[in-house]
Amino acid sequence: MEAHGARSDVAIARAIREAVRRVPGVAEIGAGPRVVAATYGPGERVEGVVVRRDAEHVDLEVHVAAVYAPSLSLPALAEAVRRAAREQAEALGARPVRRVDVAFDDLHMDGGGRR
Amino acid sequence: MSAFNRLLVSVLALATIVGAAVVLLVAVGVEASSIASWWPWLERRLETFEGLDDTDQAWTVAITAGLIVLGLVLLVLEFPKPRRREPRMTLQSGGLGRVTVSRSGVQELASREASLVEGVREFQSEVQENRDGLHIRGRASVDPGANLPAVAQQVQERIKSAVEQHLGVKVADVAVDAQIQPLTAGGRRVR
Repeated sequence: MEAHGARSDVAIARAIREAVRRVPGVAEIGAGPRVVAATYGPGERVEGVVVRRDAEHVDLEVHVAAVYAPSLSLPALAEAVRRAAREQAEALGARPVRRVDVAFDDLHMDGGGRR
Repeated sequence: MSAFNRLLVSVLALATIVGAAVVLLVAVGVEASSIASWWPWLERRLETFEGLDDTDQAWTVAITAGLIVLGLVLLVLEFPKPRRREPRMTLQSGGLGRVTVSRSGVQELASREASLVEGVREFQSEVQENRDGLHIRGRASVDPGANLPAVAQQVQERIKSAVEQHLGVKVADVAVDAQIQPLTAGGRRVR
């Protein structure tokens, strides 16, 4: 199977970042509160998305802040983030995607009303 | 500061330390020839610090010691500090990947829920993850006219329900210390 696509890791990370940002319930993509989670390329760093490859697979790690809402379910939101990241990576030729780790670094409490 | 600038400052700091240490050694009696016999130019420069009178020797020692300290301070400041990973709670783990949430995120959620209980003025929490679920311990400052046990119980129930609903993990225990005083003072525990 093809594990190495035509696009660079940075290009894939950038595309994932944009796709995940559009997922309802995601406030922002972050680098992590203490340790910088990022994909590095020549003269560029995409924070909040880590693309790791081995000989056969691609693993992804996405750091997000969620918007609080009364109906918020982090596992459900994680699944939506995972799906968006996986689809975007595979569309750019990074396949097969094995794991997508989702890290919620923050909850934005001003995003939802009082219950 | 860029990596190049950090490297430059570190090299200059190191050079200052070494240079000052060499001068200090010569000033306190080590022969210049034993340090720099391999470089006559340097040896001649160092010889000017041999056999100083007491006053000049004291000044030389003080200045070189100061430069060594300054160099060490610069080195320490430029040395990259390791950043600790923030504690995280695992919500799901499997072949598709892990889902985690920062401990501060859980604490924020707990604080928000507690603040929605009538009578709660302030709330601070700590969260621990054990095999049997999350253990949440909080301190609440409540209005003087409020019923402490009732408010604490509402806080417990609200936090447990919200965390389990939003995070999808079991909350094993919520302990609340409720008090009339602001949170800097001691409290009364309600389990």
